[in-house]
Amino acid sequence: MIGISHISRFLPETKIDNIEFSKKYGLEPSFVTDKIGVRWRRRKDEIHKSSDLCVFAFEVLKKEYEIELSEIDCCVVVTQNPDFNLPHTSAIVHEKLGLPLECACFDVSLGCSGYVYGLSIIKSFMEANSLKKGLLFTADPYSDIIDEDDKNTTLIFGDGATVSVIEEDSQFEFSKFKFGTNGKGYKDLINEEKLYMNGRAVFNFTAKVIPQEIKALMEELNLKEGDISKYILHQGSKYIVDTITKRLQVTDKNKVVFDMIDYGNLVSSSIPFILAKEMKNPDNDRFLLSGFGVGLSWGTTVLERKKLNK
Amino acid sequence: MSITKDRIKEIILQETTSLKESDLQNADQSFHDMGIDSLEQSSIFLSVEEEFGVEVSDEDLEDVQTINQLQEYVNSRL
Repeated sequence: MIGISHISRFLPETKIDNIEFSKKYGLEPSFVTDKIGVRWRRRKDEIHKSSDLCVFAFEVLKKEYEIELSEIDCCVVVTQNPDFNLPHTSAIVHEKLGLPLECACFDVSLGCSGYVYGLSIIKSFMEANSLKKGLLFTADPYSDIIDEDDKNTTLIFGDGATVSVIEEDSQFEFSKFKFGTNGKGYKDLINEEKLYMNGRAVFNFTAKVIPQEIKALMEELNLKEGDISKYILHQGSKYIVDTITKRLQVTDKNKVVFDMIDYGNLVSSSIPFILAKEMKNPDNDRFLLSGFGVGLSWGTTVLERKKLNK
Repeated sequence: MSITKDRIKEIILQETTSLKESDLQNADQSFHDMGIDSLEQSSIFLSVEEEFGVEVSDEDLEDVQTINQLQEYVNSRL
């Protein structure tokens, strides 16, 4: 069965000091670190596009994991900030990496729910077409679309990228996926000329829907809190992560990972960024992943270390 | 059914981390002056909405900034 073997991560070196930056809005440093949860925001170079971030993530992968370019038969890029409207960014990544002609490439246009959707899509696509080794990239640099004067968005988002190796004989395999959309909220997070976010509407959606979705999936799979090693939620903000934790009534709060303080909300990269590290801990056998945001869209799944599977 | 000041105070204490009951004595004091930040305010309004079925619209937010104003707003829409 197809699953995740390895995840590599890339963060740009440039860091914006969020406490310094937020002074113009009169925000207390404690609000920035303890509620928003972002001390430093990462920023890519302006000249770099999403495909470049994918390449940087792949360069990290080459140092961490043995992989032959000639074996890659599937390449998917999750982004809503493609290099161009066309062609698809994964085609540009194909060129930049020198992937084989037999490799299927396509993009998935989703934001913060994108990694969970991306996992389901690439797994299904590869299994349906007997493909063996795929790369799932996430690269969605919001710095290209942020209004730097909008305090609702500029303090939150950071740039980064990840690449997941998806193949048979993997460490982690997928259980069930659960998805949802509420298109009535499409205007709550939208990029027309610059990114606009109705923070209150997005918060309300997240607080109301996501705990219910997680509970529902866990019930379907007959899982309790004790069965989950780590809850890896999209890092919308610390307040969002804390609110979901509270509404889920998680008793062991160490199980809910919070990690964005040094880099910000990485959009579809936020879940794999954390998963990359948590997968390496042999004590972690089962993860619950939940991504949610722009659309309004959400996706939840459970990932299990292979030895647990029946 | 109506929302009482006491219930609003309970919700405020539930959704904030640093306030005590003694901080909530003046029902005409603004949430901001009580030390409630914008995120906590969102949580308070969401809890009120979930319990009483009354949503404070974005347009009305500015006029619902005290315990008294919130009580009046909710009760006039029940």
